Amino acid sequence: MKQIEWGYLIVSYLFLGGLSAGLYCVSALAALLHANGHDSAYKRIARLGALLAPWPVLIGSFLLIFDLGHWYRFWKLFVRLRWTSPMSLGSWLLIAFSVVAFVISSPGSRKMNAGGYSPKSQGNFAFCKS
Amino acid sequence: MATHNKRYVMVIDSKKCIDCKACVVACRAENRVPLRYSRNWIAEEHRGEWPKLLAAFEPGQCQQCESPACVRVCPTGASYQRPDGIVAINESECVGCRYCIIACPYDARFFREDKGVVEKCDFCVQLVDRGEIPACVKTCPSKVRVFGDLNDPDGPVRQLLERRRHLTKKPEAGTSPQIYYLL
Repeated sequence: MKQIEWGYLIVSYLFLGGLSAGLYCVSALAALLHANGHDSAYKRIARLGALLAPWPVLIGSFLLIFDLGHWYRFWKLFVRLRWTSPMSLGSWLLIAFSVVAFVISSPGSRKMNAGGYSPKSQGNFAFCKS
Repeated sequence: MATHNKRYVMVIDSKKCIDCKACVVACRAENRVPLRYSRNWIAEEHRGEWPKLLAAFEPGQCQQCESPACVRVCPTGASYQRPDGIVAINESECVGCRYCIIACPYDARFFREDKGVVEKCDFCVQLVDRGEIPACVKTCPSKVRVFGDLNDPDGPVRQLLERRRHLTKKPEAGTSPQIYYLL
């Protein structure tokens, strides 16, 4: 078998992608616990997680693009969905996750506003303090 | 004009191979493959103990599979299969993700750093479309290779395969390779 060497780009992506997924999962779990009437510390965790989740995977996606032989042809990945191709599926899933993560982290989303929190009045990171 | 669908395959009689590597050179020249890459190769095998020694040569290349794993995993459709069975690469569609290199059970593909795309044997489609035969077949001095249409009942390929015992490489990979090796 031919051994493909995964360079630092892919290695960094794997870490960053995992980081995003972890942040998102922890945030979702905390939001669930908060909704079930647990300690309000969960609210802060849910918000912090949701706010941070989209960024590592965004950086990671760019690293993936630059690992391609022709990085400027990356848009060809999104012209069609070939679902026998793990690479095609993966790139679409990556887009889907990024969109969901960004929507959740936007100031208007329910998770960010849970419990009457208003980012406009307190600034984005105000919830981290108390 | 034949009415049947063409299916191009190659029959290789490894016993005739003398390891001259003319096929490798011809392929390189025809397809402008730089020196550090190769679309085909000759595997050497040495068996036995002195003084009973045996050296066997076996030409290898893309096996032009009937259900190619490389085409299945290609995200853009750059790797494709023609109606005549030849598995080829559309270079302008290739983004260079190299997934196909990992998918290929035969290690037939390589990544061209200079062009940023993946390349492999395509039975010299540019020659086949002109009615010629691939460069390696044309040049082989000991007539190891026979190229032709599997669906032509009177063609040289069918004649050989009906008369001689043969096998394909790694059939367990499930890709149904179409390079037949005579025993």
